[in-house]
Amino acid sequence: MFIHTKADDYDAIVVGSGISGGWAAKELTEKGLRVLVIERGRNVVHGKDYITEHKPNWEFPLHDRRINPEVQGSEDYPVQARTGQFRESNKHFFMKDTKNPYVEDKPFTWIQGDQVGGKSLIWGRQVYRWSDLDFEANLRDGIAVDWPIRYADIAPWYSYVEKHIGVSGEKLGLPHLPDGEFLPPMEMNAGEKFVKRGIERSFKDRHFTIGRVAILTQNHNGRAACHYCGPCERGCSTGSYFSSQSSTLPAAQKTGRLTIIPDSVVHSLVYDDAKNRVTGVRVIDAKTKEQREYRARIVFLNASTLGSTRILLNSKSARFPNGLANSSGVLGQNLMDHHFMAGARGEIPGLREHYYQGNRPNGIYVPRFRNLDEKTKRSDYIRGFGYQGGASRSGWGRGGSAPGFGVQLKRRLREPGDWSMGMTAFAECLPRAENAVTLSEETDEYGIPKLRINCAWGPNELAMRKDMAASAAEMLEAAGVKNVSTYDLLKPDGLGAEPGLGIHEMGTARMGRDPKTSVLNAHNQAHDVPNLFVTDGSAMTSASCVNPSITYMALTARACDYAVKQMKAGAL
Amino acid sequence: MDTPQQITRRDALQRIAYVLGGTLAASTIAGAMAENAFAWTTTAGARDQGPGTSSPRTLTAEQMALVTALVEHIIPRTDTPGARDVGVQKFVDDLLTDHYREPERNRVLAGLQGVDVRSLRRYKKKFTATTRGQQVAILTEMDKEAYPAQGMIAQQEKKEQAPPRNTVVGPGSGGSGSMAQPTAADVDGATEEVRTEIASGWFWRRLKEITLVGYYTSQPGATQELHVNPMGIWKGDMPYKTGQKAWA
Repeated sequence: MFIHTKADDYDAIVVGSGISGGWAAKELTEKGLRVLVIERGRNVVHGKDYITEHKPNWEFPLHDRRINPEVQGSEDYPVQARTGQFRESNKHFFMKDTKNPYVEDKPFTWIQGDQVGGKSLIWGRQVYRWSDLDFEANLRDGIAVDWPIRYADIAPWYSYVEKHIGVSGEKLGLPHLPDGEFLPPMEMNAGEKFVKRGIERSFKDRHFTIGRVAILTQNHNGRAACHYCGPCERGCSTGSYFSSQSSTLPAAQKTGRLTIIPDSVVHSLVYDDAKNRVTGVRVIDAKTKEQREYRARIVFLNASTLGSTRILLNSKSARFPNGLANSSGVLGQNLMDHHFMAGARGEIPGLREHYYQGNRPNGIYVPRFRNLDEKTKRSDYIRGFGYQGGASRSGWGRGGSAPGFGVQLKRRLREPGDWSMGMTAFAECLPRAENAVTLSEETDEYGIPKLRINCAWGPNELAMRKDMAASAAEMLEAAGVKNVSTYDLLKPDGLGAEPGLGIHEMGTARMGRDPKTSVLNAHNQAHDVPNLFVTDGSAMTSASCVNPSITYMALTARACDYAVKQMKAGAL
Repeated sequence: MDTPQQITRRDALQRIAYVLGGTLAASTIAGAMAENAFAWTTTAGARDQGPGTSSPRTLTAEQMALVTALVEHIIPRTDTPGARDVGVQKFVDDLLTDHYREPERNRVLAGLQGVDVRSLRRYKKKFTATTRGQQVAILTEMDKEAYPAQGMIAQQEKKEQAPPRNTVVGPGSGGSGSMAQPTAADVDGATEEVRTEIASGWFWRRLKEITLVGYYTSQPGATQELHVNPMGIWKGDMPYKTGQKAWA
């Protein structure tokens, strides 16, 4: 029985406080609404709760060990431990898998945050605008459904978001990777400059730039410039990278109209058949299991791609027996992620008189260069990929892979070793109906059906992977890098480069023009239920090959603008 | 999890080694091709309590003495502290106790026994009872065997991925570390597992890795032997002069 009191009524409810939920909270409160943010995880207070920030490795019992599923310490996190991000120093920002188990029909790694701020505390911070190469892709290729928006619709919202969060980067003037409102770019190191020169000399149509990243290279909006300590994912008390805590939630709080309730698991949405409106949200207290119902005029779902879709699937009514706003039947389908873990690496000769200082929380980026036009068209696959990577001088770790011990070894390791450079592709995956999530028969500790995930890479992804590794090697070799080797960690039906590992899971409640084939319209509004908006990764119609988070932010800000205008016009 | 997939060590190692950018931390990017790429495989808790401040938990006193001798051979005291000074032997014990699961722990213990077997064959004495020169001779031999020609290690390790068929430590002994009675002993008293470990080179490479991680992530290793990269500034291209210390 979900208890409701009048005090639990708001103008808007936002489910989730991560990258997109924080934006919904900011925009809606700033536009005058009283907003309730419901977060399933614990509260994390900016600064105070970054308990490992600036802690030297030797102060960790295990020296900030990387915890993988094969070692002790991973017991509560058998899935989270599959990602390289999961370490002794930040494991407290990941979901305990025992708290939100799911059924994995095929290998799919679902990485989850479980706190106020969600994954915005631990995200990769790389931000790239999407372009019409992406928004027109499905139409051009005749697959899935067409995006209901184009770059022109979202471009001003990218600017709006970038100005607030602060993005450093270099302008390139490329139509397929549009420039943004950039703070000064971070500097490349000598190894990267060497490779950049070599690649741009050998390939006239390819670019090699510093990563565009939501990290401040100068003071911005009351937040301090980056101090280059390195491990952003422990939390940053100077707010130098974008997180909900550093950026959006303080803005929302400033309005006096924000209420956040952590430790509150959303069970489902309440739907009123007569009014055809969502009227409220059913919530279970994570600690006491007490059930409450909160009501509002509009609801924004920002519970993460799979979190939001799971809530919709579990919100059943006479009109929507297969999940709320699912008259199309496509809810849960077309799950996507970026596939990666394929690329190349090698040794950069010389440059021994060059080194670097500080820990730059960023790498380099090579924008997509395949299937841009007729000249770059491939016969073996559609879409494309970009590369992320970096160069560095080897450190003491090299001592383990070569002969030698004793005074000689110690003396040798006192100095930095040779330069090396690695590039790994981040690649687009196609939306396919059979990659789908459904509700399992099994339930979790809150009585909510577990999500059942059935997802695998398709032929286009597999064909592209060959080129991802080969092209990286070709470019490195052309640049003068030596001893280049390629890799592809994909294992058929196994772990290595399985879907989900990119932590760019997208789709399952896609935007589209036709209510018969999509869940959301051009404003992230449910076709079926006008006061329901979904503005996280689940809304994506295709995947692009560039990191998606800033697009979620821009879509959220745009949808909030639309929703409030609709409310003022009396339509909602 | 409903269908837990066991990732192999090697998978995970490769992941860390090859991921750059994206969702990865900068510090990892900076070091991904080197120490960070393998640090996790061996890291465990040297708590810098110094040597001998607490009883070992997995190793016996005798094994601890052997480990202490070995790690000090790998990173000896010079003008800065050595591995023994910073307690790498305790780090090894913590690692075996708190990080490794049984098959890997047993390989390390078998490898330790293998060092004594080598020593007995050559000098009729256990390793710690031999002279310094004899010890160096044994380790030089092990080091040579452990690093075949370039690129061979990966192939060799692929072959060696399967854990020993039988455990050296009996099932009942858990993490206590007491070596069970060898079952199929050869003339040296070495079980098949120990002989396998002697032949493989894995143990020596692993012990070196553990020692480097334990040492260079300790406070003396990071701050006296090397320099901690100071925060506050990013200089992408800084002149380097020979002799200047590497960042820890």
